[in-house]
Amino acid sequence: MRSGLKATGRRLLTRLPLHLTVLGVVALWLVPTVGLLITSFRPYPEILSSGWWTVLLRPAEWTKLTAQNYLEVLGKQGLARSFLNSLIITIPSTVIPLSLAALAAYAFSWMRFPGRQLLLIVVIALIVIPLQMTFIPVLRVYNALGLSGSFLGLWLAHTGYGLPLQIYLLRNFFGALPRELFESAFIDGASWWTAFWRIALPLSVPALASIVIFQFLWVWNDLLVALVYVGGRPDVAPITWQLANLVGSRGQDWHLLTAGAFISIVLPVAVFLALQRYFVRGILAGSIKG
Amino acid sequence: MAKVVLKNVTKRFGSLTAVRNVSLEVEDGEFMVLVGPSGCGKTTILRMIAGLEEVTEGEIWIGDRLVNDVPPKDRDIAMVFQNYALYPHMTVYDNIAFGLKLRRVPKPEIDRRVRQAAEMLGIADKLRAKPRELSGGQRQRVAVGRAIVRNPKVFLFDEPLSNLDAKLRVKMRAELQELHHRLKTTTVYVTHDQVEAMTLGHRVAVLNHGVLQQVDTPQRLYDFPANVFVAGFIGSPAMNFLPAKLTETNGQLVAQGSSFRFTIPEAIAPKAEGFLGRDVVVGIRPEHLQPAEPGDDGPDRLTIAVKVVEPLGSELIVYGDLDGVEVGARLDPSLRVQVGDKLTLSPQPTKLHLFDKESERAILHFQELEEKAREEKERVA
Repeated sequence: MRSGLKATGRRLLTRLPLHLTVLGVVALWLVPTVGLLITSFRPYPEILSSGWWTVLLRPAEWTKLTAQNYLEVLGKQGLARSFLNSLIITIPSTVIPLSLAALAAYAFSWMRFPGRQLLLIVVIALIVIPLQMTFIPVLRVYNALGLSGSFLGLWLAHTGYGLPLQIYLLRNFFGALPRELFESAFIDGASWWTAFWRIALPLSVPALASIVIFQFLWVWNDLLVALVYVGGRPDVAPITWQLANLVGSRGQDWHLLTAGAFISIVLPVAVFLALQRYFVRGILAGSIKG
Repeated sequence: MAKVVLKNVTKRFGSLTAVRNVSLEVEDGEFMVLVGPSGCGKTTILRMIAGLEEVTEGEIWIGDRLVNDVPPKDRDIAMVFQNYALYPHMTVYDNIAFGLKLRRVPKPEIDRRVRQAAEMLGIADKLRAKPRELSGGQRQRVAVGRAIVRNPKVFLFDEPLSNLDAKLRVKMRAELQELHHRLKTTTVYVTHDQVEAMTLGHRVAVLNHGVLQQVDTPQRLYDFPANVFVAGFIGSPAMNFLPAKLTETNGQLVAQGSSFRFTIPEAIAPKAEGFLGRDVVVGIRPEHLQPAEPGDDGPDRLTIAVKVVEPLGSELIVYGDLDGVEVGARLDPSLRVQVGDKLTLSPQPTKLHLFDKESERAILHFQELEEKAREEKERVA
């Protein structure tokens, strides 16, 4: 009995550094976020006169919290419009490259065609090309075609930037699916297309979900690409551009900036929470005997 | 249902020849087993019949159709894989129904066939389960179910039982036999297990290094192996091989070994005459050796120094040394033998086999004596 207790104690002791580290990391992320949230609900004079943590210490302050900052930033500052723009930019910029990458990765991992290896090497090589190098040549083409300043231009740009890595990741995932599953499907009467829809895609949901999250966050948080290809046109500019303006033009407007920032955080968090249930471990369990 | 015919089929992977000039006819409704050690090309042959591998040379016919260039889905075959290859995201029902859905079979018909197959295989209560919730045996049954609902011309099995534990394997083996008896579909079955091959196959094709060694009924493979490889592969424990030289003594052909001499009976001697003076191998199965009577020391007696004794309850397997060659014998369990004993064994006279040492091909089987005697008897009658 005593030795059992001792063992439990020792286990707790060896795990203590791990627990402390995790707690430390959580605090490091959570404190500024909570600060941001509280600040965004405080009236402007309050923000200037005391720190956000005073709200936690003096519950009487709670009554002063207000949604006024949100109303102002969404209305007067036009954040609602740019939030919508961000959605219009981000959803196709996530769906288009993922669809193309899934098809390409499937072909790269399962179909035999001449030049397959060479093409794959080219795709992988594209991963290392820095984004910034492409701006001027692509912008010239866009100007010639009249694509700059349009949503379509942004969709295409994000598709191009996202594809190589997505193809590479998905190819590795598809390639790891058991060959017999496809062979069995072919004997059952499936075409390449059916095997893609009915076998490869459903079994790759964890990989697809993580790529969606990556790409969604990347596009949602992007300022650089949007700035280059749409410039300062408020009717197509995304939320990041609007936020940057809030800081730039009135560095003193903390109340607006915090509210705006929180609005822009809400959607990515929702996407992450919605998709995390697809991270299923052992999706292939029961399929083949390892 | 259909015949499956392979005509001079060769398969090369780069510089490696996996299957060399194999010709094989599987009759309509026959259960043909391909057996051999790993890497002998048996699975490659099966995959070529399925259309999963291309044929390098030769022709494959299913029914009266040349299928070399026909894709797997149009060959009207069904295959059961060694590792089941179930679709993990589908229920048992959908796994079994998948092939029928793709072929646009009407829904009520699919339902009827899936339930019938599940009933036959004893998995009717598992139709709503996912593969991961099933045991190994149940998964293999689902894989078999997926094959039989389609009612194909040919079943292909690729070592379907080798992932199951020993007890379940014996059970499933019997079930497969029963299933074939009921459906009578032409079947090609690959295994490396000779017991499985012997118990399931109407005929068994033995392969080694991509070359077809012999195709025959299990009993004839056992009685008349075509060469040293087949003789050693079929039967457990394996056949004993004793080196000898074919000579003539007193006008009779004899196989003279280190400490033994077998006389070739005159009735079958003509077959061996051409090998006079050459090195031969005498084959004797362990079950055809019996302890000699005390005092019996004829020239065909084998005296071994016992090295290993394996009591199995129903029988006693003894391994010993005969002038540097290991000899195994399957004896009555009541026999008292200990390691280190000298044991004199007497072979059954009609159960010897003679092989040419150089080519390893069979020269003659003493069993032919029995055949001749039977023929004689029938002729007289």
